[in-house]
Amino acid sequence: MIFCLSFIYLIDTMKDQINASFMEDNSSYYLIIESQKPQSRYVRDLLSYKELYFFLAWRDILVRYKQAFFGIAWALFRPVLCMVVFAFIFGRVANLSSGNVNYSLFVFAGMLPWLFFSSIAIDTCNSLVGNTNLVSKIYFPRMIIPMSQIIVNLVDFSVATVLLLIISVIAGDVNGLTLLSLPIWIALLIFLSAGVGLWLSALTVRYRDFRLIVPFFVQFGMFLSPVGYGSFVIPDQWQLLYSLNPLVGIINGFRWAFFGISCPCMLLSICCTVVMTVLILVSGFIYFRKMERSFADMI
Amino acid sequence: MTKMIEVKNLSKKYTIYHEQQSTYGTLVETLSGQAKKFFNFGKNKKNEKNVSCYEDFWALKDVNFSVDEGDRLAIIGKNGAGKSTLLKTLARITEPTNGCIKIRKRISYLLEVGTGFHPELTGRENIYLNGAILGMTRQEIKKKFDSIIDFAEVEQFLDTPIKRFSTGMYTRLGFAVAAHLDPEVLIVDEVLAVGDVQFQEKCLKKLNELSNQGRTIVFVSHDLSAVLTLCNKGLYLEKGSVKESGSIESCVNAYVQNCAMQDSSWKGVAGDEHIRFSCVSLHFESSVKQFAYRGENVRLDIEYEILKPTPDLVIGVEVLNQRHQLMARSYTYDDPSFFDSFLKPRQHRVSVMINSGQFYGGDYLVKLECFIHNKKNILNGNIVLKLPIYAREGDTRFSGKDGVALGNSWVVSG
Repeated sequence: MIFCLSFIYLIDTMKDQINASFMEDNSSYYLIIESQKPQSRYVRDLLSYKELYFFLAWRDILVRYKQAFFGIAWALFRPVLCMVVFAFIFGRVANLSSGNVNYSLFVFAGMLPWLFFSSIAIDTCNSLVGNTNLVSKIYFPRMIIPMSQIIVNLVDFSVATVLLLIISVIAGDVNGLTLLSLPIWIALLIFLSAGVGLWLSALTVRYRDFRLIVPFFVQFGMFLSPVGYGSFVIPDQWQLLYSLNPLVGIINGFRWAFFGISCPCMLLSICCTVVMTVLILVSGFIYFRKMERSFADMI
Repeated sequence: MTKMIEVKNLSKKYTIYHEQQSTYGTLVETLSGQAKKFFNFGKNKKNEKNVSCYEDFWALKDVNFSVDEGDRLAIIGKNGAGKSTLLKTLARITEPTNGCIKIRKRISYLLEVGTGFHPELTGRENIYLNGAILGMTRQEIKKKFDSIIDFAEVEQFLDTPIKRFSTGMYTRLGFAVAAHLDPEVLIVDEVLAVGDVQFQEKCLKKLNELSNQGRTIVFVSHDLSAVLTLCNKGLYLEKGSVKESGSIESCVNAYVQNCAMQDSSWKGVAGDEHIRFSCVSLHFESSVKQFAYRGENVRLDIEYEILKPTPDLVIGVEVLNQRHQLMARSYTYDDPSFFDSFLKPRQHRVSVMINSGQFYGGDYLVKLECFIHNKKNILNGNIVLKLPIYAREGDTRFSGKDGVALGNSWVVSG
């Protein structure tokens, strides 16, 4: 994320300099607003409002757990409950294999990235529309609103991840060195969720349908991703198509990092994930920037 | 003088849809629309129908102005004149359709009190959140925290969720945070309209303080007397374009002339078989001005004809405030020496001097009364002129609260 931003920042300043060389008298202005032109100093604003990013996340976390009796413990209940159900259905009833790992832990490792991704998809969808009072009354880079949802969900995610780590260490299922690759998968997951979040939040402002569509697809997506089962269950001829789902590579990565379980098309799915993530993130950024200027008029 | 804000040819267009189509169409509408367009490619006849279902509305049209450093600019105009749209484009909330805005220094905006307050959070939490949204850093907020609470007078309720606050507390807290922004340039929308008189006064005082420190302020308000005491420049908008700009006096003047229901003069025929009025007009000290500064004399001229002399005929002048409450009055029978002379059957022209220094600043109405004592009301309040009396720039003591001043009746007696 930071790399991405600093790169865009560089381009931004370069563009400003080129502009400045054309129109010298404009260099002394803090800001020039012109119609039909991309706003100058967007990324600089993004950086100077970085505190707001955390403040909004902090607000949502506070509000989420305020007046909730169990408070932050909900961050654990949700994945654990899902895990129990899935482990029962896929492990006991359908009798699928999980390698040499306890099936519950196997499901839990897939459940973590999935829950993170799906709640970001749903939260970002509502984020801009839910903050109408901010969008129509004051300026700051709008991107901060959906992106702060990542931090909010990151809190739940890290609580659950620590729980998984502790349990798998106790159960003796941890593979050791592969665990060091975990940050890579988490980073991929964050980038992917950010890209999807940008798309969905901007689309929802224009088409409120997405508030209804997304929860529906989230339910489906759980079965299209290797959450309750291992991706080695999928027949070989379908693997390429299956890997187009960017979550496949990430969940495979998580399981590899925790338990050292690899599957036949590991490399393929990871490559697919990286390509898809970059595509979604870049296109999401561009689409969001394009739509952003008319948010206040549409919302 | 450096120009802090320059606005050139600024226009903003909104598209109004006449069908029940909202600006955010549903996905299906867009998809089906696109599909229709695709299939109707080449057949343009059907599309002509669609043209009539929306209409362009120019909320702003070719607006030009600039604000110098240290200026206090007031933007005035009726509801729907484009004031808020102008502020929104200045604040980068919406994009202009045409034109450009050049801004030299960072601007703080106060378009609404308590933007982003969350009802579930406590007062303390909301101060931090609101501060961050308005562009303050955490350090800054921490430093100003105590003085914010002092200003808002909500110390007791700091750890109560804001949803339990009264409207007044909510507004005070909101303004308190914004008042501590310490901006180089401050843009304020009509936030003072809410809150009680005491609070409004406090806000005006704070704004005055900022302007005395040489800050640049852009201020939108309907309260002309507040505008006159605070601002030195004006911009009068009507239907999205600039009607008048320059000194605050000329703008308020143009606004008063155009916008109020009443005029400062009346011509016509009113009365009955005893008396007929033909012309009533207010004259201010300077003929170009349509309002009086406190202390200036205002002359009310009344022209009428006595058709049938009646001994009990009385003419009166009443000064009302905007809520039509009687503030002061004067009748012809107050002065017996005058009583006979004005009742002779011929054309008359009489004048009444009104000392505006008696009144606090505000918009007043002058109502002409005429009746036959204990018998008949001849004018049923159909001749009402407007009399705006404003305090001079910087004189906040007398602005924004209508009423009659008792004068210097204070004596130290103990």
